[in-house]
Amino acid sequence: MSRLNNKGYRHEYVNGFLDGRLSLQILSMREKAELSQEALATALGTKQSRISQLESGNYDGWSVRMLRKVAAFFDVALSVRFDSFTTVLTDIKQAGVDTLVPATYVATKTVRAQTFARSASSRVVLPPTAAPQETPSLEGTFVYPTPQLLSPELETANENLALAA
Amino acid sequence: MILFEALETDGTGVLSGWRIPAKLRARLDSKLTLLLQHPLDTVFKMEAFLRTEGDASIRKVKVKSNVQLRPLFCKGPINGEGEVTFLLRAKEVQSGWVPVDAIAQAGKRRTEIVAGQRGRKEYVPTQ
Repeated sequence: MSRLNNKGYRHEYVNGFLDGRLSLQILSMREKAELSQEALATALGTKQSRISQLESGNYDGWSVRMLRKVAAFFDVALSVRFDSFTTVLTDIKQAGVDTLVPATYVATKTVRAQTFARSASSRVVLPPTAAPQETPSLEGTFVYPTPQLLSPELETANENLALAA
Repeated sequence: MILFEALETDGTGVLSGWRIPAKLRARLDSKLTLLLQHPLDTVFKMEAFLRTEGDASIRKVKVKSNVQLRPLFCKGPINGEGEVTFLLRAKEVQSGWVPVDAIAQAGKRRTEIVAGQRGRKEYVPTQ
């Protein structure tokens, strides 16, 4: 019988994994950005010892405010929500190195733009309903043309549309 | 990655046979899940999986609780990159080890496993 049938166990297990995984994500994002703990601390307006604490794997005093700061700095989205154990345990099973460092908004946009550039030959900005089916949409149904194909005005307009969606 | 536990002389596993409260077991299992799912060189950078002083090949899992559980483990020792083996049930009390010679005992068990003198079995967190 799975230990997860014990309520106290399953809550501690999920919380413990979340603590460790968040630590590992911050550590991995910082290393990918080639930043020292001191540099990240300075950028976030905190001390190196605080970053060390966040990356320890045992920190359990997370604040949404701090996590938002980290997310904004690395330009990744923060997701905080309540979920069923079924969903969370499935997520834990699938958690691995592939999802440790999420793509930044700019990186996601670039990949989408390259996909678009391969399939389109004009400078037309597609309307929301015209997104190609083979391209998984991460931010709604917009397809971003390559930045160099756009005038600053068009790019601004496109981003405004994305924000409004 | 496979996670093994050394067998005690009574045949119980170092981890599965450890009588600890459910919440402590859960905290330990959550750390072991992290260990299973990520590259060791990444996970080993976290304070939760530090090397021990005295024997660099022996690491401890730092489980945050009133009782400072510190199960001792090593990479391998048979398949270096594809497995870790838990060697000894240990605790840290006021900067000292329980048992006192925990690191030495863990090192000895590691050698015994390599020599085929001590058994081990797979440990699956949450089961």
